[in-house]
Amino acid sequence: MTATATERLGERTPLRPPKPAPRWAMWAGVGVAAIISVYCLWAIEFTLRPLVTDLTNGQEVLRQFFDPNWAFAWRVRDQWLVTVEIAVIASLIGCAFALVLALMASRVTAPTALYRVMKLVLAVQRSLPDLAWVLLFVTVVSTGPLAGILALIMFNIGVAAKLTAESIDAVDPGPVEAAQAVGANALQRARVAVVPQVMPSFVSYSFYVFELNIRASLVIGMGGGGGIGEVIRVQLASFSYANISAVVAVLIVVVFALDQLSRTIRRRLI
Amino acid sequence: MITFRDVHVTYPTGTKGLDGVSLEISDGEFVVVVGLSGAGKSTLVRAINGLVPVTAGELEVNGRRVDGASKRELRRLRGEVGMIFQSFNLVTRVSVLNNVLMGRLARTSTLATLVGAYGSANKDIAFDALERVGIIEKAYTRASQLSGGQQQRVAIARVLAQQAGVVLADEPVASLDPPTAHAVMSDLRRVQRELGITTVVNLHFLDLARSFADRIIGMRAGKVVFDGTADQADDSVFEDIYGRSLRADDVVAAPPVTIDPEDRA
Amino acid sequence: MSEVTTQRPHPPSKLPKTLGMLATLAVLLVCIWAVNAPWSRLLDAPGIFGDYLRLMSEGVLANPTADPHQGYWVSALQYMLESLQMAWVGTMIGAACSFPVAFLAARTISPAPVVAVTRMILNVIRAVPELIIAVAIMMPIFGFGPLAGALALGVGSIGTLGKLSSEAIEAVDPRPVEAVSSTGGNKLQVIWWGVVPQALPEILAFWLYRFEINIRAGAILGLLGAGGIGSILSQLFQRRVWDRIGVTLIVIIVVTVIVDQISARVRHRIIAGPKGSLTPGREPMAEMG
Repeated sequence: MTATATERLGERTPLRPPKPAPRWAMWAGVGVAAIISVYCLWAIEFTLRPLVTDLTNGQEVLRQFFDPNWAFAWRVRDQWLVTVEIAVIASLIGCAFALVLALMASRVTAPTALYRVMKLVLAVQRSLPDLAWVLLFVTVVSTGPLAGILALIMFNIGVAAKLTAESIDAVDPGPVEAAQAVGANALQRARVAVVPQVMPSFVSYSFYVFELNIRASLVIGMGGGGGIGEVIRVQLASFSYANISAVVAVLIVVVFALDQLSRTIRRRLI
Repeated sequence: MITFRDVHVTYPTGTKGLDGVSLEISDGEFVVVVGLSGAGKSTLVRAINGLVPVTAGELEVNGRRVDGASKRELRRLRGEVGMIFQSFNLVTRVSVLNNVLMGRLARTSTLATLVGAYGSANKDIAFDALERVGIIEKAYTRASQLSGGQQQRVAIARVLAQQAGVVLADEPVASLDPPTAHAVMSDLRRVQRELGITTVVNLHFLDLARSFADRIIGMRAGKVVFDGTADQADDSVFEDIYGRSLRADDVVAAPPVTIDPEDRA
Repeated sequence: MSEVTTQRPHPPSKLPKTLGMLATLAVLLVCIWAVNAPWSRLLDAPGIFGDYLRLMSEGVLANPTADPHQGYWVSALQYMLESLQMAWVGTMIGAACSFPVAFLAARTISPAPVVAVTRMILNVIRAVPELIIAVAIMMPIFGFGPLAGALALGVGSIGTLGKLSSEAIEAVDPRPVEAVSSTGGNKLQVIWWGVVPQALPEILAFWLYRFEINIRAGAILGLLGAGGIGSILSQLFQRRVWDRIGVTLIVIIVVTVIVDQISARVRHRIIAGPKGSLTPGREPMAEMG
């Protein structure tokens, strides 16, 4: 008995683990990605040659960009205010809607049929770029901040509802079970056991959405939604790059400052 | 009064949770259910308030049928049956008081819950419950700041706030260190005696089971294999329930720190 | 009764919370008043929107094999395809450039001065909108068309991808890295065998997620003449050809949702492995605007 066992062992030494199956999925993925890449490069006629031949073409534009007209950035101060106001209104209202929709789009807080439908609705709603929303609302309520606000609300619902729904999916199920065990109905469970758990993430997302709204103000205004982006649109049409660069520089500083501010507030709140 | 008549529970995965259980638990009894993990203790307890649906047989709690009950009926039943969990299941980000007020949900309108207006009568009940478990001074503390033993006392207070006639406890002290486990069990037992609550507790520590239970039910493979008083349940009975010899980790094996005179009796 | 109440602790002041709520509400109201938008138009908006929706659905529901609707579908798909191509190439450029940069920006790999300088450059790139990169740099040099758009998206992607990838690199388990260094590997070997295998799944997921974002971000570049779906969208809305707008929006929605779903599946598979499950609760993607 023992002899045979040792013999068998002896036969097998050195003990090698069985060779792992080749990772087909990985190589297939790499292959597909490579094919798509080659195709896309070909399709958009990718070349870096203009960097050698046409580099000087951009010099005049760039020269103006590096000579910002700071006075202009101050002259359009009213439009800056409008941008901030649009962002405040759109993020507060958008996030409030988003919380309700997120509760309807999670399997923790909604029946199966409802959350499946809501997940799809949110996916559809999120698939439209911010530009499409602005263009759409401009035709409905005409150009100006109202169109910008409505477009950003839609955009914000898409971002905040998705992130919040994912946080709801990940809440500790214990308190939800406890609420179920005391006989709470679905709304009560959501309010008492789920909302307090996701509140910190939700507040974070709301600040993040506000920051995104300031960043998106260029797109919103270009599409006709008012605010500082509208200034950019007019200046672009007259090729006043020195004015644009001053506005963009201020925008970058504003976004940076808001980022720091929202971080401080978030840390206080949570 | 809780009555099981040939109750079967089969999970969607095909696993049998309960396999023909027939039991009668009378009002005010303190029953401890013992058995190895997977023996069906947890299923037995969770079947009583419908958290686990009964697949065959009849289950009645205080004259209400649990099997086949509608969602609304189940919610009403659960309002009268309290439950305590191994991991406390508190909402740790809100105050102790709000956690205890959760016990009033079945008797609070949805609208009032949404705006957080429970009313002074419900608050009085919640403070009463906190007083009974001796942590009233923590009412406005966030639950996350309490120790494990204190959190489980809040969970007991939540059940008391339900003014439940029946309390279920699923491994209530398994996450606690031995002295705290004893203290929490004594609290639960004292409150249960004071209010005459029918209580069903899952435990896997046999010394705790013996020292606190009126009656011990042993389970193996979804069946009741022992049903008797704590005195009748000696080591050989436990070895029979567990299907193996006893080990050191089957007992808490630490002396209780505080002994209530009532508990001695 | 009175005995019980005396034992109760005093409830904490609700003042800060109430003040916070009131302040938020006040800010909202002031903004609504100051922005001076024609709020009354909201009353008519649903009706107008309904009319447009009906006009759009007529375009969508019309026989797609007959003219002129067949042409609408084909051109919308072509423009959308161009958007996807721009986004893919942009992501490729961003990925290729950000990958080495991420190691320079990781505290666990590079010396502090290098990290500081690299991070500053990444922050600056992140702050400049793609729109401006396109207008100021890419379009003067590369002219109109998707190439300029792809390059603008690419440069824009370097910022976020570099930042997130460097964080993923910093978060790798240090033990395998130590193991590789203890065998006497040089710095490059340590990175290649100890760090890359651990950080790569997460970095790949960032690339895919950035691709999803670039599809949407490319729309505004089209408005400026950099190709893709955005270039046709604004014209259609100006001319108010609702049936064609309907067709175009449906194409955007369907293609984007499908690409998002595929990308999400692949991301999940890359991070969790064939059978594994994701640990929930972490959403680094939230930082990618």
